[in-house]
Amino acid sequence: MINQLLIIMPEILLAVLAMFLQLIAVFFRRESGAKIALFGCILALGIIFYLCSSYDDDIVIFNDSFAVFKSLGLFKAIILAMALMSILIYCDLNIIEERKVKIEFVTLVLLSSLGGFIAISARDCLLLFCGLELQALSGYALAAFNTSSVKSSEAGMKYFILGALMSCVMLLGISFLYGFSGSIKFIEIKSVMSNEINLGLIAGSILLLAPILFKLSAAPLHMWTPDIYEGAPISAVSYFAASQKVSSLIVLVMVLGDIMGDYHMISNDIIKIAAILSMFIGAFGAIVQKSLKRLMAYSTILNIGYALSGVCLYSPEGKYAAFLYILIYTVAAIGFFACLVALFGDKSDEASFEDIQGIAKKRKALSAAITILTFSMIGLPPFAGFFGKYYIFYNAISTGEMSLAIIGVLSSVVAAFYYLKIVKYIYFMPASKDMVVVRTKKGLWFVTIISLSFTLFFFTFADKYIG
Amino acid sequence: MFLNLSLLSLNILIPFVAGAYIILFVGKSNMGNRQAHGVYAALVGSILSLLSSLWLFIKFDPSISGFQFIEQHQWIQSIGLDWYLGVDGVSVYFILLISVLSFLCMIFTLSSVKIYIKEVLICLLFLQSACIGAFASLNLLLFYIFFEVVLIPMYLMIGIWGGEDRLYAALKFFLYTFFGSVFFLVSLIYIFSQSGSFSMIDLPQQLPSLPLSLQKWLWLGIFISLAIKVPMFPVHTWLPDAHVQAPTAGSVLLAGILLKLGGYGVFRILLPFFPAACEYFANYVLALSVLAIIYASLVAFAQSDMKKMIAYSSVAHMGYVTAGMFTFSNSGITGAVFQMISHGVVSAALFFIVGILYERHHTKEINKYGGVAPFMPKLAAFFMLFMLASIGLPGLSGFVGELLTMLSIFEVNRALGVISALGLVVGAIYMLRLYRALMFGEMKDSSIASFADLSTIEASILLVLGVLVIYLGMAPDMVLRGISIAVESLTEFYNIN
Repeated sequence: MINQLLIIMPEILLAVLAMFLQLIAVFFRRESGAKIALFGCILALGIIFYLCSSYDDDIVIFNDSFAVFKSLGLFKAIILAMALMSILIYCDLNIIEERKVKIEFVTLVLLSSLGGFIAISARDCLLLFCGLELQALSGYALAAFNTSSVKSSEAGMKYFILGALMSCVMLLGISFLYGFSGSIKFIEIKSVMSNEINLGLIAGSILLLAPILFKLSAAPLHMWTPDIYEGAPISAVSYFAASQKVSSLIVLVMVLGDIMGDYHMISNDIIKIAAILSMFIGAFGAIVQKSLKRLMAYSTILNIGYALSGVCLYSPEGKYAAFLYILIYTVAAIGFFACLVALFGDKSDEASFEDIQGIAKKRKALSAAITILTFSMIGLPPFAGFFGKYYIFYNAISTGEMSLAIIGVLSSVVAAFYYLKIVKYIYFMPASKDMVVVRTKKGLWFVTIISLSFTLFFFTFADKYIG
Repeated sequence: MFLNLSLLSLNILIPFVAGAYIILFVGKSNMGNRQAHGVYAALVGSILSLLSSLWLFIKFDPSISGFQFIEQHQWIQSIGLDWYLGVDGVSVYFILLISVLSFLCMIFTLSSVKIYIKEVLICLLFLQSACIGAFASLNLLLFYIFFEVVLIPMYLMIGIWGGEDRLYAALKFFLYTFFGSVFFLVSLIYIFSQSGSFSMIDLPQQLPSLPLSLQKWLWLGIFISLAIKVPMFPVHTWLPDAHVQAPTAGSVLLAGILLKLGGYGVFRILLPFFPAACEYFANYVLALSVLAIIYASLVAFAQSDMKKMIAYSSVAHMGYVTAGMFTFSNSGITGAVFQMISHGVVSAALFFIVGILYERHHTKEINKYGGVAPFMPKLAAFFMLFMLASIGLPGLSGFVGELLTMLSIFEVNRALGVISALGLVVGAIYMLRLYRALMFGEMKDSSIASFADLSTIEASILLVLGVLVIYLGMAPDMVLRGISIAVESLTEFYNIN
């Protein structure tokens, strides 16, 4: 028993850390929130190292309901690292605006990541549900975190209502699966699903997949994304767009691989349709957007489409390509958000194309950073985005999914149109109004530089990660 | 890997390192004048790369068939990407041309561009690096990567330093080329999934055995991309816009180098990889090319903007290139390659001349000029030389390539040969008209009288190009020999009747 507790030590530590930070914040003056947050981040970094170094062998504990794999340890480290970047963005935003750092943000992000940890390790439907709920509930609070803004409250409410509905759907799906297979354990459901084609199980698996696609903001369940991205505070959005997307994608792949069994033909078709729709909607929906956050929402939908087209190939390489792609994209996205915060401070929540017009004159480094990240998202070599896309298309074509690849490349041409708009406004247009130069903080530089160097120098170490 | 870099890698890396140096160190340098620091770094990088290209050219042995200076390093094994470089008798001339033109562009830019000097230098250096990389790479994916990287600095150059309508032109340039290149990418991935290799040396042995229907699709995917780059008739519309809006250095590099990437791609990829598909599509390509020659010449005739006129003349001249390539004869392909080199020099010079005039009068409208010759005699002389070279006067560089390609077209199809010869006549008409309208006649504006003649820098730029034009025209044999040896190994694939 003790042995098993040791194995899930990262999760326990994370839960303790989240609550501990909340507790000690009570005893200190509110001004020291940033220091406490930083302290928490350092402790969480310790957890990351622990995650990467432990997990020697692949085992499933707690009566076949909690998987502890080496690869999952790496994924958890990535999820937590991205969550930490969001926390850094949040802290620096408050320092820029000379506000107190509310430690609740840190607690919520850490709890939400904990939910992600549990969800990706879960091999039991109810545990999966608990993990996703913990992740989502903290997410609702994060979306509504800016209490002084009506839009933020509205975003939180919208997210909550839609998310709660999807949770119901998920529970319904789990009850279907339980009813027709007699178990809530993935391994037992899979063995039943491998035997016979059963309409109830098909309905159950579709109902189980739909909420996960919702969390990934894959079309046609993407509707919430632009609204919530627009309303929620930018630090929360950076968490939704990066850390949460990574964990949701891993959950999707786990569910597909460990539950669907021989039903994968059906589920893969669903994923494929979602991929095509996401690429289409993400590419065309963004063209008319003016707000940069809404633009990033559609860009997320588009890129989730690419990742899903890797997932639906149902090959190990395809899955790997999807992980790699989502990693490359989310790192770029979080860098993009950090740049926005560094440029505009609080106003980054409403930043539109007019705001970035002609900023290249005053903010050279940040403009160059945004431009490079944008070119990477377009998929131009030699940036990381190219290799991510290339690997997805390569796997699609070598599995014979030519149509998927063609749709993918065409939507990337459409997407280039609106990504280029960012570069156009930054460099080609004269500055329209006087820009208030926000002093950039160290944390934001840190996030930007990490994201940028990953994007820029991916080609030098790509050999290790591709293939 | 870095200890035994060959000459080719050096050629690619020197401008790149110079650009990176400017980005990293010039902004924060404590030297008195940051701008001067950047300028020196850029000039040193440019001169060094020019010297290394010259060294490459001298060391290159044109009498050997096949690739020289080959170097291969593993890069990303699983997707077939190697750092695999080599030059043959065709690419070595282009690499020298790129270095010369980039150097001239840099000098010209330093004397003309006033805003964002550091950035324009970075763009020029990266562009040079990527172009050399594209011409030197023997790995198909590496070629594609360089082919695409070229887009970024060019897009920024048009957009930042361009004319009034630069936003539209830059976007059009980017989207047209990007649209084409994604199909290139799909074809390329398919080739890799079929053959497991990206080596441009191995693929010509493997790919022709694919079924013809498949070859046709792959051919089309690559052809769209290259045809947009060349540009060929229906997809050429981005070029006039891009040329008119681009700054002088941008126009020079666009006409002198970027368009050649398309023609070089046809030579290096389409012809050796898919002989059957090439023969299948040859008639269409020939017809389109000849159509482009006539159509673009006529459109050029109607232009009132100098740059647009020269841009359309580029479309017409590149028509000879694609037509020559698809005759599959030794002389046709050799002529096409020679035509590319010659056009690279001549059109670059013409754009420099337009840039020099624009510096003084700030308009590109032909009607606003007139009677410039008495006030700028040196310019008039150089202009005459390049105009005649563009028309294809015997003894100058334009003649050789056009004659060779036209003879080959004539051998394949008499009617098309005659029509393409007509294009030469129309070309002479509009170029002479342009010269007359600018240099002779009455002055349209009294300020023309105050035009200063060429400065030392401008004169030396034109002098270098002028020497090249005369040398290529008078003694084409040396270049032709190098090219034809490279071409012979290609035309073995084709059964020429």
